[in-house]
Amino acid sequence: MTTTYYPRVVRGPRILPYLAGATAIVGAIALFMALVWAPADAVQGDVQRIMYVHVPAAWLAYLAFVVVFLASVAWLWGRSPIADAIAVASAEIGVLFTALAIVLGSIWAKPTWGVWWTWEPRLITTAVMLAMYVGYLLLRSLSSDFERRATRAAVVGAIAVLNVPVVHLSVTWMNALHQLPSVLRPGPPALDGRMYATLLVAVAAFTLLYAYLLVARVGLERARRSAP
Amino acid sequence: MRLRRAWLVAERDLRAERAQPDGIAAAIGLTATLVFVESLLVGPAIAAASPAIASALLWIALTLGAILAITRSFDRELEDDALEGVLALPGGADALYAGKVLAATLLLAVVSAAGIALTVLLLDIEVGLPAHLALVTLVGAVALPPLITLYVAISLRLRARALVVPLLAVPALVPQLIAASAGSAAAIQGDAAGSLAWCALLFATALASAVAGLTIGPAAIE
Amino acid sequence: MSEPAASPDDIRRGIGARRVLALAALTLAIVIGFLAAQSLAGSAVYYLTPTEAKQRNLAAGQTARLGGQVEPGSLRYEPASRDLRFVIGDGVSRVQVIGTGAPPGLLREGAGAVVEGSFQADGVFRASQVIAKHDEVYQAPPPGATPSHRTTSP
Repeated sequence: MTTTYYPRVVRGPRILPYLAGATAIVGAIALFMALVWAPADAVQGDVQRIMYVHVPAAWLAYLAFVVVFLASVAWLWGRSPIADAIAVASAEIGVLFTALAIVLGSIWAKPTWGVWWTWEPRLITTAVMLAMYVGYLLLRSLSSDFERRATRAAVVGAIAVLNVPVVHLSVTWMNALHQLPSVLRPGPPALDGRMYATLLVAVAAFTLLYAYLLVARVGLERARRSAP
Repeated sequence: MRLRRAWLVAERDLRAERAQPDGIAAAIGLTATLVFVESLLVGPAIAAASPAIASALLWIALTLGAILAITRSFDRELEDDALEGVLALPGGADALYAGKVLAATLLLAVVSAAGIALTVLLLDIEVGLPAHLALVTLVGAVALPPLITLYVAISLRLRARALVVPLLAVPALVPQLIAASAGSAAAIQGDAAGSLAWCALLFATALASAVAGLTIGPAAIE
Repeated sequence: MSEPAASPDDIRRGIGARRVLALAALTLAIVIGFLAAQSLAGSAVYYLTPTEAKQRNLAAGQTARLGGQVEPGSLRYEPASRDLRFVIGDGVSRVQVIGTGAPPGLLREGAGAVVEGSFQADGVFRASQVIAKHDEVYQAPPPGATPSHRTTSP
């Protein structure tokens, strides 16, 4: 006796196409500004333009992990399933953006610093942060029971957020190779005006990308849970 | 009163350990084996030139030994089916977590003493400031258990526990390990001010992880 | 372990007391950590300044990392012999550095550098690795000027 399986088309949340469109538009604007409109750096030249992807990736990783923290606390507090879905979605995106920031940073480092990698404070703390959240995802993948998985992950997610301020402040606390923050610091940004504007648009594009990925992933998680 | 309950849990653990010391035996066994092989690979000459290496190896071995001891301690609860009983009592989860941390600290102090003795012996190390080294080790024995106990507690019924706990605990313990390793190295080199400063930092991390563990740990024990 | 169950007031009082304790412990941890970090400002560093290196009296051959500014007028690179020389300073002390191989594109006089290697017996620092450091300021080049950086290494 044969059984016919019909492919299930999972329609995602309805806002998704709009988010995708917005991301594409703002992303295109950011790309133009980054490659054409913004001036090259007086010292580094055009290689500095990689900043417009490297910095937003890092900042959005921070944001993603803070969202993981909030969602984890929300789960521990009220055991709401949507909190757990947001936590896992944000953690995956955060890991992706952290890895992206590290790779882009490495690519930027080779022609400027002269090395692909070195054991300096910012790089070390970022690598530890990546390790912790990869551990988070691994813990989730190895758990089978829904409630237990959510609680275990929430514990790790609540603690690992401490990495975020440590990563950011590491260069101010000790002698480091990575330069001090140019924007997230007391005082005005140490950037040329056009560079700053471009960076803000790039951050906006990345934020829309984060929102798109988050909504898509949460939608996927809920579809998985409701699937028979 | 809560402290008394925690102490009761710890006391039960230590008594069980004394009756059947497989937890501490396993921890000392693992730590000693690691120290032995590490000493073999590094050799006294290199260790003498760089005390930081001997310290780093010692603290990695102690961390893995601690993970083993704490895992064993929780397994004893599972084997005796005592876990549900303790958790059902008011404040039971808190007492269980705190008690386990307490017992682990005492066990780790013993294991560390053995580990240091072996390291000094095998690598022919001349310890400049033995008292400072003892202090750093003692504070380290307090600093490691809270987070390890937390991660063991949340992975109690996880099949891949042996993989997950080290993977989660070791990156989370980086500040403690940096402080403990650097403090031990400073004590070996005779740098009193340095070892005390690292000791203070280690104590700060111990406090912070104890607070974090006590806040979240009890909620997570399954 | 038979005790009368705690009343809701007891529990609330207990939780309140615990929060205060946790906060106090955390504050203590932060204060101690801060003070300890201050006194440790010299150890566990990514690099030493030339002044700190001189203070520590590093033995010849001991691996170290120095960081500072490249002294204007001191940077020389000979492509034929791959001999690199410059002086690294921090405004107080200066150290002569010798390296082999092309310098990183961003290495220039007046800008930051980090070198890894060891002191020779004569006080000259032989670098096995030279890293250029740039600060956090990004500016557009003045009108008409081309950016000074070479991204292709010789």
